[in-house]
This record gives sequence, structure tokens and C-alpha cells, in this order.
Amino acid sequence: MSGDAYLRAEVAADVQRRLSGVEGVGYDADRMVCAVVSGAGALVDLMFHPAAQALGPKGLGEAIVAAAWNAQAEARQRGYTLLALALGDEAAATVEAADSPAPARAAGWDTVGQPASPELAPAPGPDLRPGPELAPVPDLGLGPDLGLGPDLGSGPDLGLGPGPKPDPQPGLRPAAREDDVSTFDPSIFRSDR
Amino acid sequence: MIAEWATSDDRGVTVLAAPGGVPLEVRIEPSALHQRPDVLARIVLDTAALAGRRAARRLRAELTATVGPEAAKTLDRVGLSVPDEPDPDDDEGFGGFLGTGGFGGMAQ
Repeated sequence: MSGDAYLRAEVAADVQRRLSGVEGVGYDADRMVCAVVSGAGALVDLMFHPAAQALGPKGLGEAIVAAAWNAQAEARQRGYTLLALALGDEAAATVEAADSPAPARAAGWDTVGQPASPELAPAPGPDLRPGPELAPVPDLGLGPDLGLGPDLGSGPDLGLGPGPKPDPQPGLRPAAREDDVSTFDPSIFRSDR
Repeated sequence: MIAEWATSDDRGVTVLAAPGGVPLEVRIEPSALHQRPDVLARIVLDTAALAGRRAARRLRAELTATVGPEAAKTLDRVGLSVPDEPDPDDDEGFGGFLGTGGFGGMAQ
């Protein structure tokens, strides 16, 4: 049994105990009110900033509701995280389907469970179309044109071009580029589901 | 969504809450703002808890009437059991009946 599977089995053994201890903490937009909600949806604690009353009766009432709902969303998210750890992403997704999307997924933070769409997948094969980064190498007056112009793949890299080097495998870019924030999978931290 | 109202003893705070006590609406009288923040927070918390118990009691009653007592036990499993403590409004005329949401949650 791999380390990951062993950890999963261990967590599954006491998932109910862990779920009973789940709590979420939430604030209103001005952080005047802090609420704590249990995983079962019970309001456990409520704290006001010393200046909270300055919001007025209506503002304070709305701040309390906002803080409580934010806390509830965090508690639900923590519950889903525990479920995913114990049962796996697919089982957790099934629970989500029966209830409602996990708050992090609804907010667009999670990429787990989003199957690759064939129509959205990039076409296979290299993309040879020249882009703006393939502007002609400037003429530095060092000699005759040796034919190194726009074809950056056929000559030595002189480091003269302002743009990035062409991607050797453009077709894999969405999944392979580590610096693309849109491809970041936060589930690697196992705390965002 | 099932929810119920409750009002604090000093009538300064009124809360509409779902089972569990997460508030859907909080109404605070201007006079209540003169209290210390921690005191006011405790009043809101207690009032929300009361409203939540009323909502949970009503939810259990409706579940029991609709799908039977076994389904109501689900509330216990998810931590939303209704404690057997009297509603403080039970001795206020018909408050007990109204407090359980007998008229569609118009408890106040």
C-alpha cells in the first residue's frame, strides 16, 4: 500500500470523528464581526470588534449575517476537504452533486473534477505560426544578412530578441506551463476542497 | 428553507435563523448598541440559538409528518438534534404553538 493510500485509509477510519470537529471561521467585509460555525451548520461563537457598534443597528445586523454565512461556507469547505481526503475526489464530487458545489469550487479555485474537454483541447502538433514575439532580429550593422531573420529555430540564440523563446511543444502548453496561473491545481495542498 | 424567529429577553435583538442557529436576518434595536460588544454578541448568539432550536423543532416535526420518524433521526446524526428544553415562550399564551412554526414560521 502506497503512502498516500495508507494515509487515506487512516483518515477514513475516523472521518466521522473528524467531521464532528469541523468548524469554520468567517468575517464580514469590514472584519467587525467574527463568527464560528460548526460543520453541522450551528452557530458556535460570535465576536464583535470594539468598534462594531459604529456600524449602526442595520449595518451590524447585516455584518453578523455576512460573517455567519462566510463561516458556514468555510465549515462546509473544510468538511468537503476531509471527505476528499478520506474517500477520494470522486466520492467527494458525488456528495457535492447531491448537495451543492464546494465553496472553493464555486469560487473557481479548484480544478479537480473538471474533465478535459476534447473540444477545448489544443490541436495536436506544433504551432508554427509566427507570433509577435518572433519579430525580425534587429539589424545591428555587424555585417551582411546571414538569413537568420524571423526563423529563430534555425540559428544560434543570440539573446537579442525581446520576446520569449518559442515553446518547443506548443500543443501541450495548457498542461505543461508551470508559470500559468490558470493551470495551477490547488488540490496539491489538499486543503482547498 | 425552514427558519424561525426569536427575540431576546430585553427585546433588543431579534433573529431569524435556520436549524442550527446560523442567522438569516438580525434586527438590532438602537438601544441594544449601548451594551458592551461581548455582551451584545452573547445576546445575539443566544437569540440565534433559540431561533435555531425552534427551526430544528419545526424541521423535525415536518420531517416526521412527511416521511416518518426514522428520517427525523437523520437530524441527530448530523448534529441538529432538538434538545428537550422548554421554549421560553411556551408559557406565553399560544406562544408555544406559534413558536414551533405552527403558522408557517410566524412565531413573533
